[in-house]
Amino acid sequence: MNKELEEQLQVLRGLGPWETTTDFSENLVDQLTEKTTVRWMAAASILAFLFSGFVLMASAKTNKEIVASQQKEVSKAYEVNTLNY
Amino acid sequence: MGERFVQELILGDELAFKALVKEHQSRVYHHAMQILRNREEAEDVCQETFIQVYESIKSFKGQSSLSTWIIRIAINKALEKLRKEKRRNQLREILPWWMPEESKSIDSIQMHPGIKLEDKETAAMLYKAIDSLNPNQRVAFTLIKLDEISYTEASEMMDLSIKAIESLVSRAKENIKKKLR
Repeated sequence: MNKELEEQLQVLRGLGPWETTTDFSENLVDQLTEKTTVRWMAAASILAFLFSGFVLMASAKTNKEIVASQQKEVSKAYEVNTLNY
Repeated sequence: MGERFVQELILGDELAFKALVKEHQSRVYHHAMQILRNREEAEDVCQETFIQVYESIKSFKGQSSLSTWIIRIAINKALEKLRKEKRRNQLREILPWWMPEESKSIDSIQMHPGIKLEDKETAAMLYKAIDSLNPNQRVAFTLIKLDEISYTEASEMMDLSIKAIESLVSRAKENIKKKLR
């Protein structure tokens, strides 16, 4: 059986290399540039996402502060008003 | 292609990289085709290989020749493709309704153009048996039995010990014999 397999395998031996007409050096540099661009874009969008999250949180905090200070002003005005009466 | 050439590659010299691709593309394509026997997949492997070469040339220590190192990357890429296909087939068995059957007939197996007409039937049988092997056995068997490269070179290309290659080839032979019975 071993000999038989070896004989059969002769069919697939010494056939020479598989050939291609594609020249990989042509579009490879473009692909590398494209890959780098995609990586930069991904990094930039992550930064943009983080920054917008930060802005959102900061604005929520500022909003709370504004409301608190407005309430304070209103209560002061109320106190002044009640004093007048 | 000596140390100076590697230095040029590390520095990102585009011309040096193009020269490297031109020098090695035939060999990389040949090994990818021998393992996958699918033109599109082999071309993908070639492109992915050279992209990885460009990105990780700094990690090349010169322990093996640059050519062997490149072929090792290509073989790993081809192995990844075979493993992915195997996983897809396993998933297809579990969830046949999710992934419809893509049966590969004997006619769809891409044959080497050098095979004589009278040998085509035997070649198709052998290819089918080789395709049924697990990815590592398939690669080791192809390198040793079809490309007739030495065990030492195959062990460098697959990053495995010579004993491991011997064992893979021996098991592959047994499995092929079973398939051909």
